[in-house]
Amino acid sequence: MATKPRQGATAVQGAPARPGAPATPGATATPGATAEGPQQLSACADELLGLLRADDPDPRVIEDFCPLHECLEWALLRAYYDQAGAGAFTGGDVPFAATSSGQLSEDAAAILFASLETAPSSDGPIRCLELGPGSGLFAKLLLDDLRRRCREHRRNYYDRITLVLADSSSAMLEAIAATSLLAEHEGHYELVHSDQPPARSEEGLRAVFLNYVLDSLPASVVRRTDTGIEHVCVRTCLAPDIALESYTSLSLTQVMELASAPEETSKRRLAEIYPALVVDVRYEPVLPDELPLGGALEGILPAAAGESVVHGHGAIACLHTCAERLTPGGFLLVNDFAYSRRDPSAPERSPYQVYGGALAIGLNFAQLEREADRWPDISVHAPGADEKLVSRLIGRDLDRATATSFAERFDPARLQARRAPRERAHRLIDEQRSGAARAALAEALSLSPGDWTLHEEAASFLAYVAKDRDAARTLACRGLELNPLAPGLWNVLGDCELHARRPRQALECFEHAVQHNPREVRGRYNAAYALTALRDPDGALRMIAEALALDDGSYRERILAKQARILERIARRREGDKDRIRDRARPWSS
Amino acid sequence: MTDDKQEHDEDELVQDLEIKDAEEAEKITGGAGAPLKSDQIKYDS
Repeated sequence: MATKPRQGATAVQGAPARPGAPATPGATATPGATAEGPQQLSACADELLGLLRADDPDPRVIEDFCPLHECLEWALLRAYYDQAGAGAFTGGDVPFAATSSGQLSEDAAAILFASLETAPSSDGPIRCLELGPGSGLFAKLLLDDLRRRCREHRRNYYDRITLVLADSSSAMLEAIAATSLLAEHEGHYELVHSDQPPARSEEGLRAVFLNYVLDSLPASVVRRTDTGIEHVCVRTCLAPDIALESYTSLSLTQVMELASAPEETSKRRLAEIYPALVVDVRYEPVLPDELPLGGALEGILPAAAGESVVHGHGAIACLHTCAERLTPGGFLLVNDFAYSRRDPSAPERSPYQVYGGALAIGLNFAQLEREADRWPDISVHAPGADEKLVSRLIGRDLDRATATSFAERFDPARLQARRAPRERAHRLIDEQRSGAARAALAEALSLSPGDWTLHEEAASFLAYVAKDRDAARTLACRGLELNPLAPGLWNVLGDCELHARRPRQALECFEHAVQHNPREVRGRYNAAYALTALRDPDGALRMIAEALALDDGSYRERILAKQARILERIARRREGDKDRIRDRARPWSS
Repeated sequence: MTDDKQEHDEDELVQDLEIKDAEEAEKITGGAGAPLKSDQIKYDS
């Protein structure tokens, strides 16, 4: 079965998306629709139907088939980040813990420190860059760690550093500024609104960090055929049975006009109808020269026809620009996920991934390495394969110490050894062996003291399973020092405060959780408990209503049960009040 | 507020928190660790 590019979407490879939609000559049909026999007849019938209805275009098509990197989805990607802000991450839509837990930043800081140790002696400024800083958490934790190392080894690198955080979404940068996440590092960072790496500066860049960002740059998905190559094209339609007026005040004609407007800002106005859109995907013939950086296709196409690969022209261009900005001895550190080749005989799947409203395509690391190897003075360093995250160090005239630091830090065996106690704790929790699980979590924390996700996990275990709330509170506080934006940590801390009969402090914690994730359900549900303890049933009911409105169903039962208990309590209080008033009047009436 | 009422409220809070703790404890399982972007690929295929 073909998978859906995003919820509610239809992934189609060359087959009509819906009755009446024209089929694509020469394209491969949806898996299952290409089999011989009745399905083949059905495909022929659909094609005939398509020809008969060729003059009757589907009125729900918002944008006809166009190359993946030019389609409406790409234009709406930035609109999504503009709307969601840091909530894209704290709300759980876009995975970010793998790059912002504190472990990657610690490793990155170690490599940067090693690199600076070999740099020519100087008291000049050190400029580094993070492209697509997201929540700003990686930057915060990187600077934390670098400062700690500099104090420990009496170096002035932290005093000299400016970390430039560049993002194409101004809303994301405003969100970073609004959270005060980097307040401690004032004077050591700059926020820059830019689509591109900042212009070449006199001092050049010592390090560039690219975490889960190259995957959101324009790319094509291509495959070889018997006669040439094809690339993925996408058509965007209104979902069937959708009432457009439920999503926007724009008419269908206005929506069409905005979708076909050449400038991206017009297209981005369609973000409000994103959930009402579905996409059809198919391969269309293309010449290499018609694709951006078509020359980079050379040598990357699989020998076998049908097997698709990513042509990451956006990622190549970005890396090239960044590499040109490096000082001698400087490096790019890339951490991302890889596009995994699909066996042509395996079930069809979406050529890209969607997180919330953000589109991403796994990187073709082989292509990136091949291209980077051609750039003067540039070398690419790859550790062994790690299944969690793919990392590459791309250096300009890189010294041995920096390369060695990278190799050691990203050695798969080391990474696995660091993960092992945590994974053991998971197994022990499942086996309900609390004591052993606690010991394993303690070991994990000793190996990764800067990982706030581990602090959250351990604090939750201590609070709710081991019921050691003092220890849970300590860990939650320590975790919040690392990541003050984590709703989960605020919730655990709030629960500890509730148990300690400090409902006002608990409420403050739950309010933090809601502040950092506007779609936070658990924080609102928890706030209802704190407000109940503060004898504010009206406020508690308001929180319940908000939680219900935001909930995807996972909290529904418990929210409704809590609501029932609050209502019962209100009714009981009113009944008691009535009785007392009546009893008070009784002596006078008798 | 009378002592009885205060005690009753306290009992209710304790009961409430027990329910809540049990709910949270239920959610704590081994799990698969932090989500990764590559997870979606595995899920899709």
